[in-house]
Amino acid sequence: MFLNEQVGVPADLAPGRGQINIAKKILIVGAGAIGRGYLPWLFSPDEYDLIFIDADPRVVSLMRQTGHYVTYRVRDGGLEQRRVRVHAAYTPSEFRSVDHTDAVACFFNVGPRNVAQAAEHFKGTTIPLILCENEPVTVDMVKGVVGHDRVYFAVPDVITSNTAPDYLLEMDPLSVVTEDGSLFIQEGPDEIRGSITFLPAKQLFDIQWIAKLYLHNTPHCIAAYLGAYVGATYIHEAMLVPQIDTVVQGAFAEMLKALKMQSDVPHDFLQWYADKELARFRCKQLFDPVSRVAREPMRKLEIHGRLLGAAQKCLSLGIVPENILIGITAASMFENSDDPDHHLAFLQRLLPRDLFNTYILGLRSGEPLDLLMREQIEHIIARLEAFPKMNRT
Amino acid sequence: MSFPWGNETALAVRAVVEGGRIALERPPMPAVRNKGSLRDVVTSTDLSVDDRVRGFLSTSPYRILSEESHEESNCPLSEKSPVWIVDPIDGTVNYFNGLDYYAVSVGLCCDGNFLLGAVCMPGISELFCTFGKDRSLFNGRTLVHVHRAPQESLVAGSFSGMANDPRQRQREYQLFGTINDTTRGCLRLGSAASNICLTASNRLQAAYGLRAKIWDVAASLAVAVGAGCRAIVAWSDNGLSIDYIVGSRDTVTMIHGVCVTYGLMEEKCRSW
Repeated sequence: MFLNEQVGVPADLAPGRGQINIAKKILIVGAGAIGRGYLPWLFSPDEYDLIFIDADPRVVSLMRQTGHYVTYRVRDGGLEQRRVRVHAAYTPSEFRSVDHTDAVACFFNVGPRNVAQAAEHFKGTTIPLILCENEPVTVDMVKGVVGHDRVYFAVPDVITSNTAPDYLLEMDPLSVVTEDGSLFIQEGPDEIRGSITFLPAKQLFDIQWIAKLYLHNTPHCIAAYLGAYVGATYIHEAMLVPQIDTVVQGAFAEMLKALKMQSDVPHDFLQWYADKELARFRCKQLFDPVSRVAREPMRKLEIHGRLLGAAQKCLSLGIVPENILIGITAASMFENSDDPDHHLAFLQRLLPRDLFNTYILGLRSGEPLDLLMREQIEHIIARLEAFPKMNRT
Repeated sequence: MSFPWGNETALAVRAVVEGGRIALERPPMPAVRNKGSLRDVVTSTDLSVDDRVRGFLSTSPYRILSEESHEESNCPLSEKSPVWIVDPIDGTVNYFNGLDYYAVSVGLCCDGNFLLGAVCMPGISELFCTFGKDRSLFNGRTLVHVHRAPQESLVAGSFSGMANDPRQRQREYQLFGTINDTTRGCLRLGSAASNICLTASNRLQAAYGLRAKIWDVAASLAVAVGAGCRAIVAWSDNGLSIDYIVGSRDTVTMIHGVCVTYGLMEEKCRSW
């Protein structure tokens, strides 16, 4: 049975009866920013059928209704578009991996907290799983769930919005905008061909992942938390606030200094990477929502992660991470009632700073970062309060 | 606060972390006295923590039932209005011996329901609390109990204080042995509140206790239920004592079955 029949894809989009469909299947779990917006640019539509699995029934329903959607890519200051054909779309409860064991790969883009649950659907299959999850530990987690080793870490070096400006959404509510990026995948899943770079694990983790973690994730979420603080909707709006731009640039400088001191990654690569990211944050075509980048602040505040881990790395090298501390403070104050971590603001207001550092941030009482934060907190909050707020009606 | 019992949750959390702060400032040798049995002791720190916690709670209109300051003849649990239930240090013997396995607990109960709970384990920098009706937090992270089968479960048990009832004691030892032999093991760790919080957070799969005092477990049971644990409880002694089994669904059911077989609990109990 053709899968597109199951999901009601219009006949003109379906492979005709009697014809042989030679396209290979790629499964995309999580049809958000990366899954819907970026990955389809990497694969030739003639060569691959894209099958989407997403927890949002609205997205799945829209995909089924039309059988396609449009993703836009920022290029040369404008937008180019690609009409993506949806071979099939499922909610997780509808999806049966046994019907897709011939898929050449499955990309996960569901967020680190949802990975284990999503992987449950692939127990008993040997489809190569490629995790675009910004969190290397998810690889072992998924291997444990599915019971095989064909699970690979991937670093999408790209910023993709999970939405688009209103005029594009009016034409297609599934529209998303992405930048022109690169996808690096750990060597192994050689069944897939596309605009992908396969790297040995050491090169992937020691260069691309380190650069992504500290020169993308760290300043990107700082821009988002400061943007949320002033009431910005999109990252590029936040970056238009001079005080935010200054702090983000400062965070880049702190991380660049630390990475240049500590790692043997070529310095010109690090500088190029940082410059590229700063330009991306400022990109006015991208419409990257602050709420997307800032979501799940507790995850962003993990002890070895993009904020606290970055600050610790700087401190260990004798660099005072003044700007990263501002980001940590803004992250602690992030408040969005729709966010899974909306309780963080409650705890931040409730707990004295030393106890917040201990119980919520996981710092040891009296360690250098704890002492520095306690010493700086009033100064940082005064500085934040001087940021201009955006009035939205 | 914009969630059910938000203001009271804030008070409870603040009270337990500040109580925990006092516990951490442990004097080299806290004064200690026995209350009833060799295991039922109180230190000067228990009393200091109790003072501090009750100081926070006194801003609320509800009555307070605390291990260190209650009058059993005047038990407010029989009333239909919420009551704060405080255990300044659960696991005092551990605390006195320099073991970090102890907890400061504050719960709010009404008519046999656990409305909210906050538990601080200051020795290991862990903070648990409920957040609204069906949610609990562990050091700021949403807590979700992962249910495991009995054969995959590590269990912690607490004995009743009924050392003077040899028959009861014998049955409790039998229960402990049976659980120990049908799971990955049964531990006696010395703090019921801590056992329950470790269960909620998946380091143990179940915890049980017989004739526990309500202040030992009121707050932590609220946390465990909020994390999705199954809980079976039976009240006695005008609400001051409680039999409880909490944790992974099948393991709790199995332990309850053994308790019923040994005549330690009734078949029909309250459950969540």
